[in-house]
Amino acid sequence: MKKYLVVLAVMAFFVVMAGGAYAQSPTTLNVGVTAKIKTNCVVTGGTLAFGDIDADGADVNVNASGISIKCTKGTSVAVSDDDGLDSNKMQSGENRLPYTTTYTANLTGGGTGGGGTELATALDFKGTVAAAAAAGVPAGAYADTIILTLTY
Amino acid sequence: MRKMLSLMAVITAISVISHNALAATPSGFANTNVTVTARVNVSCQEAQHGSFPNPLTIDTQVTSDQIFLHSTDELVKCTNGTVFTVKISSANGTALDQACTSGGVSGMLLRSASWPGDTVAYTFMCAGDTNGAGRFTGAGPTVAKAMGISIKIAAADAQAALAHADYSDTVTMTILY
Repeated sequence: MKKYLVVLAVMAFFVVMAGGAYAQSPTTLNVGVTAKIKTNCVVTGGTLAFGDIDADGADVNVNASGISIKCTKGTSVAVSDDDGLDSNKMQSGENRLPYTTTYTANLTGGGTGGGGTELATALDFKGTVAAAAAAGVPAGAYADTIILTLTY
Repeated sequence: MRKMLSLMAVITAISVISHNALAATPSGFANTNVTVTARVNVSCQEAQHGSFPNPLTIDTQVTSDQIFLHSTDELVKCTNGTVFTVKISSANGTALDQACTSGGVSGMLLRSASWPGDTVAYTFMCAGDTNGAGRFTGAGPTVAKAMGISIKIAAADAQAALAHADYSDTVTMTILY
């Protein structure tokens, strides 16, 4: 952008000089003005907390919290994840607790400015621990980390 | 002047071409972490209530110990991998929160309702205790663990018992996990 402005400044100088030199012969000139809005996304991670699960209970469904996504207005954003550290299984020592996630894979940026549109609601990130999965594991605290990737 | 206009046209054309190229190809990535957490609680519950034939018929002439198997076994379901014990108490005897093992719990006592002074000692056993220490391991909420309860009356106690038809005791089983 700076290079463009330098070129335009130089051109404007010549125009003034030319105008001065040919003041008695008016000429209309077009000055091209260009700009490029950089595509950008800002994303902040969150938590998918299933809380306390009873092994003899029903499926546990929760919504993620704390995720924030803001992208340049109109930007097409593809969302993907890496399935966590062990193929969508939370870990507790040697034990694994399977879970599933769902979310909207394609979003459209709503702007990142002061009134920027938050896309986390549109992402609608949810998780489920099936009753059968919880029934098959020992009691304990389980955890995993998913890397969420936005491509735009 | 013509040169300048040409230069501007070229600049504009380059700008348009560049913009189109950016629009067709992803231009950036952004990553973040989502932390996933859960806590699976320990849970145990009785899946089937245990019982014995009513009444037990004790033969005072038998010279060996008499063992009475359950009518329905005591079944317990616990979270997979959870180690639990079953404690036994006798309403008439001295046994109080004794771990139920395959070796049996002593201090159990049958008492005659009509002749409260007449009693018969017995042993309460959990054959499902495979390690002899009274520790069981849960296999999840869909798999019931059988305690394998039974009652043993020693030959000497049977032979010494007075004949009544109303001996009874209440056994309290408590699951600890």
